[in-house]
Amino acid sequence: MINYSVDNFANLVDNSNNSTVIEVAFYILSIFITCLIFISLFVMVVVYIERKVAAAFQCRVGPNRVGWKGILQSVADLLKLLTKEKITPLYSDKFLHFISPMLCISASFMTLLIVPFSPHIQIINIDMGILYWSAISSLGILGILLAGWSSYNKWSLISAVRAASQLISYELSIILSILTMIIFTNTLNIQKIVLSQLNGCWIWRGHVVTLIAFIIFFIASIAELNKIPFDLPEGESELGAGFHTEYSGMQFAFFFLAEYVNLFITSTIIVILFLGGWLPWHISGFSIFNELMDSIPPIMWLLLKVSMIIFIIMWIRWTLPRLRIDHLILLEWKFLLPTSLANMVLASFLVLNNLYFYV
Amino acid sequence: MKEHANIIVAPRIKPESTIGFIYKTVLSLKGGLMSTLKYFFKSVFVSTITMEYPENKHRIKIADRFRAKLVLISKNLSSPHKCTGCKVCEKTCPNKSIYIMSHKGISQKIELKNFIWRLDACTFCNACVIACPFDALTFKNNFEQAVYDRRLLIYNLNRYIGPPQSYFKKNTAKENSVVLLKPYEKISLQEILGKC
Repeated sequence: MINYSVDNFANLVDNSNNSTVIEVAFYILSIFITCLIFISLFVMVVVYIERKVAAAFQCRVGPNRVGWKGILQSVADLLKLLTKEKITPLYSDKFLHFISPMLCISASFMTLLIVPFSPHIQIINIDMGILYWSAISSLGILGILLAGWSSYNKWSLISAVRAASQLISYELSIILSILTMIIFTNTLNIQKIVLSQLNGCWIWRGHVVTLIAFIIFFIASIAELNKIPFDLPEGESELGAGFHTEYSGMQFAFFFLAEYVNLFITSTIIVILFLGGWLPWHISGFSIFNELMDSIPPIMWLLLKVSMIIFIIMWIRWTLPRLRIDHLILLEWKFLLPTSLANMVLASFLVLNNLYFYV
Repeated sequence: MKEHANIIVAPRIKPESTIGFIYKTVLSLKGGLMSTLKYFFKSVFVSTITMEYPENKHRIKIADRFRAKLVLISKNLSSPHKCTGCKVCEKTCPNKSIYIMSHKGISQKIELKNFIWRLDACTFCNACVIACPFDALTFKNNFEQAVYDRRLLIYNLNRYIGPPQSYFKKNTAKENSVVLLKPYEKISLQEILGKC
C-alpha cells in the first residue's frame, strides 16, 4: 500500500511567517486565475460532452460542424455569449439585477477551494471541509432568489421561489446523509475522509446503510443542482427559462458557469464521501491489477470517478420527465427525510458495535 | 321508517402499501433507464437516425407520396398530357394557386394553353389531384425547390399546347400529333398575379 502524505498550497504561506502583503496578494491572485482557467476549460469540455451524450440518448448526432466532430462548438458558443448585448429590463432593480449573477458564480468558486484533486493538489485543507462545502454551496441560492426578484418578471419570481423551497427541502437530506457518513469517517476534514477509505470505499463497507445514504445523497444533489427530473426552477414549458429569463450575454453565462461548477463540485463530494476520492480502486488478491491501478495518478482517478457520476446524472436527465412541485416536496418530506433519519440511527448502531467491513 | 333505495357504493381503489409503491417505482425507473441506455449504446456503436442532408444527397430516400411539386402526368414537358382544360382544379384550389389559360384549339374544343401553378402560394393539400376528373395531375417528391428569386416559384407546368391524350385514341393520324407541338408563349407576370 502506498503511503500518501497530504500537503497543500496553503501550507507554503502558513509556514513562512514573514511573508509580505504582496506575496499573499500574489498567492490569492494566482489561485483565482488557476481556478478561472480550470473552470472555463472544464465547463467547455463538459458542455460539449453533455450535448454529445444527450444526442446519443436521443439517437441524434449532436454538434458536428464546428471543428473536428464539432469539438470547437463550445468555443463558438462562448464567443457568441461574450459579444452579446447586456440587457436590463426597464423596471428592474438595477443594482440587484447586476450583482445576482456574481453572487451565484462567487459561491461556486468559493466551494472550489476545498476540492482535493490529489494528496498534493488542493488549495486549502481546512478541518471543517465538508461543513464549509455545505454552507457555501447553499449561498448560491441567494443569487438565484435575487435574480428572480430583481427581474420584474412574474415567471422569474415564481422560479426563484421554487428554487428556494426546493433547496431548503433537499438541503436536509444532504446534511443528514453527510452526517451518516461522518459517523463512519469520524472526521470533517476532506483529505482524512479520503484517507479513511484506504481499505475500501464506504459504499461497499457499511452494509446497506451507506448504499442508502449514497442513493439519498444522489437524489438530493440532483435536486440541488436543478437538473431534470427536479428542474422546476427552469421548467421551459411553464416558466420560460426561469430565473435567468431576463439575463443575456455574459450575465447569463455566469449563471450557466455556476450551474456546471456546482455539478462538478457536487459530483466530487459524492466521490469523496462514497467512492474513495482520489484513491485507486483495488480488488483484493489481484496484486498485478492493483499495481496497475496504483500507477494511474490520483488526479486521473478523481476525474474518472467524477465523470462517471456526471454521466449518470446526464443519463437520468435524458430519461425521466419533470416532477410536479407537490410531488417534489412530498418526496423529500415524506420519504427521503424519514429514511435518512432512520438510516443515521442504523449507522450509529453499526459504528458503535464495529459491524462494518475492514474496521 | 321509509325504505331506502339500494345504495350502490362506487368501488374504491385500495391504497397501495408503501413498500409496494417503492418496489413499483424502482421497477419503472429501471425500465426507463435501461431503455435509454440501449438507445445510447445503439447510437454510439451502430448508427443514429439523423440524416445529414447535404452529405447523403446521393443515397437519400424520400417517400413516394411526399408532396413537393405539382406535375401534369406526361412523358415529358412537351408530350401530350391528359388535361382538357376543364378548370376544376382551379375552382377547387383553396388559396388560388392554380391559374389555367385555355383556348379553342385544333380539335374544335377547349384545350389547355398554360397551366400556371404558384409554389409560393400552394399548401400542398392535394385537393387539385383528388378533384381532377381526368387524373391528369399528381405530386412528385423532388423536394429541392429553393430559388433565389421568388418570381421563379411561379411554374408553367406544360410546354405542349394541344388536345389531350384521349383525342389521339380516336384520331390516330400520326401527323396530327407532330404538327400540334408548339413552343409555349411568354406570359407577363402582371397577368398571372392579377388572376391568382
